[in-house]
Amino acid sequence: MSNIKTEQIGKNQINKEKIGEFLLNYALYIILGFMIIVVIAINPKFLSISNFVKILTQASTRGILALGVAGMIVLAGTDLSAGRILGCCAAVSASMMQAVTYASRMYPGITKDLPLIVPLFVSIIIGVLFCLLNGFGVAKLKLHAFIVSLGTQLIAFGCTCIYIDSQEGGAQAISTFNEKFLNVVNGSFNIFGFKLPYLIIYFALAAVVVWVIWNKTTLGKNMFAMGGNMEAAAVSGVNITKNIMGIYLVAGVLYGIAAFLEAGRIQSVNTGTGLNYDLDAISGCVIGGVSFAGGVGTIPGVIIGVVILQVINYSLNFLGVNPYLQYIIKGLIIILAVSIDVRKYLAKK
Amino acid sequence: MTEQEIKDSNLVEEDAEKENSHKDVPPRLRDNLYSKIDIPVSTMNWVIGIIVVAIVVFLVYGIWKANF
Repeated sequence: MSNIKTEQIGKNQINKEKIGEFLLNYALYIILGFMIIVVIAINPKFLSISNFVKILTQASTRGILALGVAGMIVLAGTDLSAGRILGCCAAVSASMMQAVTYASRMYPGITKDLPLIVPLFVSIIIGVLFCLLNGFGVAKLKLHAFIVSLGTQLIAFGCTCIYIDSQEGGAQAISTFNEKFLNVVNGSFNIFGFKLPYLIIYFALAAVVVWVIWNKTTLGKNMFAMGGNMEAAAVSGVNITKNIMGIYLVAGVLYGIAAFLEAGRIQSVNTGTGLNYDLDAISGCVIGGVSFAGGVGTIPGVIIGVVILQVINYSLNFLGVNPYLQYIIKGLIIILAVSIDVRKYLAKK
Repeated sequence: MTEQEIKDSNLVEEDAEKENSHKDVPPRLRDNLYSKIDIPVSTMNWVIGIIVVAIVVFLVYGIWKANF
C-alpha cells in the first residue's frame, strides 16, 4: 500500500517537473499567446488576414537580414553591423532608383530609369564588401565578431552619413523613387481577390535558398561543424578561414538584397535607416532557437522568431503602448530568450 | 635510429601538427560563449521566472495605460 503511495507521489513529482520544464522552455511563446489573447480581447479586428499579411510584409526585409545574421550566430559569433550595412546599401541603391522627373534627385545626370539589376547589384556588392571586412577580422585577424562588427557598424554609418550629406541640397532623405522599382517591391499577386505581396515571396525564396545552403552544401555542414566545435572542425580538415569567409559572403548578399527591398518598402532612406535592425535580426534568431553557444539553429526557427518579434512589435503598436515602454519590453524579451538558451545549455551540461 | 627515437620523433611531429591546427582557429571562438557560465539550473529558473513576471507587469501596465 505504502509502495503504491510512494509511486504515486513520485509520478506526481515527475509530472510537476515536466510541466515546470515545459513552462520554462516555452515561456516566450506563452507570453506571446497571452499578448495575442489580450490584443484580440481589446480589439477583435486584430484577428484578420489583412493584419497577418501586414505583419509578414513588415517582417520580410528584417527576415532576410536575420537569415544572414543567423549564419554568424551559428558560427558562435554575431553581427552588430547588419543594420548599418543595410542603411548604407539602401542609401546607395535608393539614390540610383530616384524618379528621373524628380528635380532634387541625387544624380541629375541619370536621365533614364536604370535597369533594376544595377542598383540591386551595387547594393549586394556593398553588403558583401562590408561583410568580407567582418569576415577577414574574424577569420584572419582572429578578432571576436562582436568587436569587428561594432567597428564596421560605425564605418558603415559614417559612409551612409557622408553619402547622404553629399547631395546638392544637403543631408535630406533620399526619396521619390521610380514606379518600376516601387512596383517590383511593393506590388502583389492577386489570387482570387487575395493580395499576396511580392515581399513575402522574396522572403520565402531567400529562406529556401539559405535552407539549401545550410542543409545541402558543404559550406552549411562545415558551418554547423565549426559552430559546434571549432577545434574539432579544424582537426577534421575543415578550412576555417575559407568557410568563415563563405558564410560572411552569403550574409553580405542577403544584406544587399534586404537593403534594396527595404528602400522600396519604406520609400525614404535617411541616416537613421537600419538603426536597430541588427538587434531585431539577432533577437529574431535567438527567439527562433539559434543558440549563441554556436552550432545550433534552423531556418524555420529563424522565420518563426522574426515573425514572433514582428507580431510583438505590431501588437504593441496596435494597442498604443508607449514606445519607450516598448523598448523595455522588447529588451526584456531578448534577455528572456537568451536566458532560456543558457538554461538549455546548463541543463545539457 | 632506435625504436624509441622513432617514437619520439613521431610524437614531436604530432605535437607540431596539433599546434598548427590550433593556429587556424580564432582563439576567441575556441571557447563557447556560455562555457564560462557556471550557475545552477535552479538559479536560472528563478532568473527566467523574474524576467517573465517583469515582462507581464510592463505589458499589463502599458496596455492599461494606453486603453483604460
